[in-house]
Formats: sequence, C-alpha cells, structure tokens
Amino acid sequence: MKSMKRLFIIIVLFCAATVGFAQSLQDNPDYQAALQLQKSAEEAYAAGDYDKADTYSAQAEELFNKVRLGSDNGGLKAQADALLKTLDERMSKLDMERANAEFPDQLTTAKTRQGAAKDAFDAEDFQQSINEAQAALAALDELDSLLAKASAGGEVVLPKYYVVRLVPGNRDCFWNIAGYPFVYGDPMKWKLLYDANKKKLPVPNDPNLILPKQVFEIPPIAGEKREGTYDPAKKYPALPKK
Amino acid sequence: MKSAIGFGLLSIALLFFSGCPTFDPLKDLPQTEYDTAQKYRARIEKFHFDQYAPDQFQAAESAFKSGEGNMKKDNLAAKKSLDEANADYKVVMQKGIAAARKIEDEQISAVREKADGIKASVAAETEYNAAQDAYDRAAKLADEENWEEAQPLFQEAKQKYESAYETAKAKKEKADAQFEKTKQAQDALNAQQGGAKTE
Repeated sequence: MKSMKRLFIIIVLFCAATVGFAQSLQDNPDYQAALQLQKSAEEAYAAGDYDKADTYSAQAEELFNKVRLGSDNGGLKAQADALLKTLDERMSKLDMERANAEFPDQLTTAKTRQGAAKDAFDAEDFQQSINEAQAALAALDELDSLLAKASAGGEVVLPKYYVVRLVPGNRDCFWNIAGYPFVYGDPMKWKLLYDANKKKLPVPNDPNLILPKQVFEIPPIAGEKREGTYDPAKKYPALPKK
Repeated sequence: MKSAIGFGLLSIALLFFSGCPTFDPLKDLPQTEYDTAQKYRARIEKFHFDQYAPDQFQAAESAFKSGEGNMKKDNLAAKKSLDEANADYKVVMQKGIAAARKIEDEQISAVREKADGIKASVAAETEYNAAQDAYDRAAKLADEENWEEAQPLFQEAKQKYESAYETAKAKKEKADAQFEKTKQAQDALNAQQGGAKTE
C-alpha cells in the first residue's frame, strides 16, 4: 500500500514537471535557436549549399538533444527530490531508539542508503539518487514491518500440530486445513500436509478419509517458527506471504 | 657569208634571252601544298573525320593522289590537284570538327544538366567552375578548328562536371543523413514533451 502511494506521488511529480517544461519550451532559448538553425539548414539545402545545411542541422540536433537532456535531468531531479523528502518524513516518524535497539542492521541499511541518495543528489546523479532512495524506503518498509510484528507479541509463532475437528458446515479435510491462514493459507498446498501425515491415515492412499481427533503435523514451508498445537481460542497471525 | 654569220649570232642571242626550254623538276614544286595536304590527312585519320564527309574525303583523296602523281612531273598540274585536295580536306575537317563537337556538346550538356540538377555549381563550386572553364577553352579552340587541343579539353570538362556531380551528391547525402538525425532528435524532444507544439 505504501509502495503504491509512493509510486503515485512519483507519477504526479513527474507529470507536473513534464507539463511545466512543455509550457516553457517555447521560451527556451536553446530550443528557439535550434528551430532557427533548422530553418537556416533548410534554406542552405534548397540553395545547394549542403555543407552549410549539414553544419546548421548538426548544430540544431545538438541543441535539441541539449534541451531534451536538460529536461530529462529536470524530471529526474524532481523525482529524486520528492523521494528524499518522503524519506526524511518517514525517518522523522521512526522510533529511532527502538529501531536501533531491536533491528540495528535494518536501520543501518536504511540510513546508509539515505545518505547515499543525498550524496548522489548533491553530485547531480539523480538516477542514482532515486535508486538509493528507493532502496532506503524499501529498508524502512521492512523495518516498519518488523517493528509492527514485534509490537504484536514478538516473534510470530504458528501451530505445529492440528487436531482434526468436526467443523459444522465445513468439514475438515486436507484441502480445508491447508487453507487455514495459520496453516498455509493456501488449499492448493494440501498435498504437503497429506504427505507429511499419510502414515497416520486409516488408508494411507486415500487422502479423503481423515478422522476427528487425528493429530496432523504441519511442516514449515517458509522458514516460519511452529510449535505447539493449534488452539482455537488463540489468535494466530497469518503465515507471511513470500 | 657576212649575213650568215649575222643570222647565227642573232639566233644565239635569241636563244640566250628567250630561256632554256629544258625541264627543271624542282622548279615550281608544290611542296607546301603537299605538306598541307599531308597534315590534313593525318588529322582526318586521327579523329576519323572522314566518316562525317565521305564524299568530300573521297574527292580530296583522288585529287591528292593525282597531285602526288604529278609531283616532279607536272608541278603546275600537281599544284592544282593539291589545291583542290586541300580545299576538300578543309571541308572534311570543318564538317568533322562540327560533328565531333556536336557529340561532345551533347555529352557535356547531359552531364552538366545532371550536375545542375543537384546544384553542383554551389555544392562543388570549384570543380564546377573548372569544368566550365575547360569547356569554354575547348569551345574556343574548336571554333579555331584546333581540334587537337579542343578534344582533350572537352574530355576534361566532362570529367570535371561528373566529378562536381559526385561531390555534390556525396554532400547532399551527408546533409540528408544529418537532417534525419536532427529530425529524430526533435521528435524525441517532442515525444518527451508529450507532443508539445514545435512551431
């Protein structure tokens, strides 16, 4: 969501810079000089003075490119500037003391990238500045996520075992169990569950036959920590999506 | 006896004053006319002018043969024949030069038009002017019937017009390529500006 917002801001700034530049194009002396040179080149060409035509046209090309590249830099500069401001704002809202204590590596990464973004901006390497600022914002996103998880009760722990229940209106089966958010949140992963527990089934080759009170092990699939047995009374976070 | 002696002396005196009736082959030899005819013949042969006036050439050749045959035999008749031959040779030369020049003019006109079409007089001014100069000199020499010097100058004029055309063509193509590059640069700028007006 934050990424979308950031992208939207970048697009708006870019469009504003583009429109502003288009309005000033007619007043751009280099652009006007290029048009004049182009006209002179055409006149020389018509008169048969191809050398002059070639020279004037090359000068016009150089000026068109100069205006375009100047404009490119202008657009990039605006983007980089906007990202640096966003970065400053995000940093100012960060709980530095806690981030430094709990996730110093992520904080260092964000600060290093922010510094690199500012250095690149000062060196007028706006594309590099944008790249670094985006990397710093990504590091901040990760830091925010880690802090939020830690605030929610420390490290996320999901259940390692599940006891088959008689759920009214929605019978337990490998498909449904795999779809529970605290299991895999994805019914398509039912076979992982089945493979890990088929020896416990009355008919191992029949995944459709499972019995209430059977205890199934839930193998971790994304490096998540799993322990204990699922407690319906307890709130579990969803398995983080990779 | 006295009268006989007087008659004899008178006869000797008349013979002395009226000239000797013996023939001198070198006296009145039309050598100049003969040399002129030979020069005409060499020029006509060199430039193949006989093809442009075959009748006159045949007449000239007959007269020349006749004149040559009478040389040192009947120098007066030889001179007359050689004069006739030279008159015909001159006509052959004039007609030949006129015909050859017409061909040169046509060829030069074609290559000059080609050069003018690409404005070579501006784009390759030096070469074009050199071509024009060579042509003017050639035309003047041709007017003077000096085809020996006129002909190579016509060739030179043609080559220089062709060279001027090639130079102008190369410059024009270079300018065309540059125009395309400039247009691409302008299009790129306009595309960047979202189709901003350029004029």
